[in-house]
Amino acid sequence: MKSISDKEIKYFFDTAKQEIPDRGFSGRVMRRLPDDQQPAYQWIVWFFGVVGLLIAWFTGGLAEFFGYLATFGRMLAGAQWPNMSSAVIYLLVLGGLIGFSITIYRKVEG
Amino acid sequence: MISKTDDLLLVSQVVLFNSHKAFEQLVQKYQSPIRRFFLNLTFGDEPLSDDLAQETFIKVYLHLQSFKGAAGFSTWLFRVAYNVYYDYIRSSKPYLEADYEDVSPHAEAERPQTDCKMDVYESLKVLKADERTAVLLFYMEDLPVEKISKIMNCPTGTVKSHLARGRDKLAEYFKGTGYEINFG
Repeated sequence: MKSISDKEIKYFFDTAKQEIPDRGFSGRVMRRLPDDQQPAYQWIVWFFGVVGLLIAWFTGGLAEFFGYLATFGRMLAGAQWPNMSSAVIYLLVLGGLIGFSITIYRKVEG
Repeated sequence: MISKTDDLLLVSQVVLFNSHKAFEQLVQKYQSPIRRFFLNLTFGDEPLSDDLAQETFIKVYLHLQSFKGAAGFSTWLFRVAYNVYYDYIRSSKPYLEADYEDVSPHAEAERPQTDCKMDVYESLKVLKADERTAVLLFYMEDLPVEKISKIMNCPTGTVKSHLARGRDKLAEYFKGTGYEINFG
């Protein structure tokens, strides 16, 4: 039997190797994906999010965190707000964080 | 390494946020090697290979959470493609006769093809399905034996045996057809 080297076979297949243009293939795949597919591990995100919040709450870290945020907010504003309670500042900061998260999520999702 | 990291980033976006955009990027990145793999396995049957490739990507989407990340996304993707191909073969088996005719090449005569492509498809017909898969992954897709063994779920020694037998059969085929490999 005539021997054939790896190099020869490799060359034979390399000459036939071609990049296949998409030509709508990806779009057809995306259209066939199930619409109501839920993120499989979405519950993990929520689960650990809630666990993290509870731990922070019980250890006092949450109040401390918001305290720092409030101090930081006041410092930025450069003013004394005797009438504005910390709770309002917390809510403003929290709202900003939620808005930022939603913006990032929408950007990722396109 | 950067490519592998990008893959993991995209996979995590799909798994955690159900990001269709991230999944589309994965499809766009890997559609060519996967469709080429099927195109060669089916001896140039474009409609069939596109159907198999679509099925592969949909299975990948549905089972992406089972991807562990240890073997690399492309290896896992080819493993899914290999399983899709063998499911197809098993479902078509009663209608097929010889092993090397596992997939019908009925559509190849309908399309204009280059001589080079036809040579490859003809040469692949002399190989058994496992030999064909190993030869394509090794010589066409440049995958190492270790990765091929993960894709085909068999020991590396078995992959080497498939490659050796495939090489012998190809040598016989080239000898029989008088085909000469002329290096460019």
